[in-house]
Amino acid sequence: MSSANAEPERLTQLLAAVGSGDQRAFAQLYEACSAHLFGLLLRILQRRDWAEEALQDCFLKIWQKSETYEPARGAPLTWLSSIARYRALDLLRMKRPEVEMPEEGEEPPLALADPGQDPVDGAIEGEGLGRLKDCMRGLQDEQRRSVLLAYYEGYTHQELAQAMDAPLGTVKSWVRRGLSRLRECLEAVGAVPQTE
Amino acid sequence: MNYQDAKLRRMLAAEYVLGTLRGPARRRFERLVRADAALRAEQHFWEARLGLLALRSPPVTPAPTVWIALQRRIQSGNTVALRKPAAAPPRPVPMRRIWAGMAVAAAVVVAVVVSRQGPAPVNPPPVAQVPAPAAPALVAQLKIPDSTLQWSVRFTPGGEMTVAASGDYPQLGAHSLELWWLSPQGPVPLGLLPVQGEGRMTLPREMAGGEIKLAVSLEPQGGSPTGKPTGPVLTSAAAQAA
Repeated sequence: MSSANAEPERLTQLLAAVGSGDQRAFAQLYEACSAHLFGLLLRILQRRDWAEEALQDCFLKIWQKSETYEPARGAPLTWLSSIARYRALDLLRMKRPEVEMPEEGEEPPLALADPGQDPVDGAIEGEGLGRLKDCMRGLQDEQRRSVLLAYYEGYTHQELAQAMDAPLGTVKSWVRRGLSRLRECLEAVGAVPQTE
Repeated sequence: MNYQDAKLRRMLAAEYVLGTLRGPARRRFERLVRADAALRAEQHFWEARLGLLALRSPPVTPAPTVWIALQRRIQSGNTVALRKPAAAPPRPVPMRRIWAGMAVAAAVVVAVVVSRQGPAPVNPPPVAQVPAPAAPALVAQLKIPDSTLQWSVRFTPGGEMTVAASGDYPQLGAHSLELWWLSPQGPVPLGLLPVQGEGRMTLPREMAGGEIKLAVSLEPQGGSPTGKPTGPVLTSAAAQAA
């Protein structure tokens, strides 16, 4: 893991500096985060040229909108990951017909059965990640697998159905029940937004 | 869809962040969330938590051309393409940089001469003589990932270094590629790298002896204004016996 995980405070400062037009801070932010975001984008987009395009788009947006960062959206790298994923999903929407499905049996990188082997555990964001992993373990296998495949591969419901060899309706309910249970579990530790 | 149903709103936000909300429903959510603070809070809840999964994705270093192209887009809105070296040899461009205020190597002059015609006459910089090392000549290969651009670096017994560029090079715009010695005390600037032809640099005296590690960073035109790398490090390598 790069140093980006362990330095949310530094990244927050860099984001603030980028918001005021500091180009050197932008270069440092790129240096600290680009490999993480590029790895994420490559996984979803499966093509290096698209991932490069998405990475550029993502940093262009960061350059223009870094002042919209707020801690409620997670630690800086978490927020940047959201921006990158949204951009990737938009690109997929435009380009997906050309994409081939990855080989079957490819597993998401989150080895949930292997607690304690997580290099991020000791980092500042480790507490939140540990909680998320605990809650993930509380899901049924299909629920967890569908949520992780959707997150890491950017799959639609249809693609999930294909990858998991299950009817569309079944897959949709795995995703929804998985997310509901995940939310109940995460709610138990507070910091839940007020709704209505 | 009924956006007043609290349970449904939660699920839409969750599926938006997860990415399974697609098509017109995704666009609709994006429109609504702008004017709906509670819905936005739901979205942020999931971003802050599901986003943690991103930390588990293995990092992959992007090609340096991505950074260069990004810089150009920011400055001009244009994209950048790789181009071959011009057919006609460019006018030799002498570049000389005097590194003042260097904490590590005081009073060192670095001169880089770029020429298509092989080693060019160099105005001898006033540097102290470095004892010729008895060890065999050292070489290093610096290659920019995902491009053909690379440099062969050769340390000569006289305390000099020749740098030969080969391959296609990206249009650098208002940028330069700078070579650094990664000394135990931190990076020491050696000079700007030619993107074609050959260059020659005089080494800081402190460099004699010990393992020599080099790195290349992308810098504003003319090199780092601070004496330390300010842009991304594109590649690095250690010198080895020829």
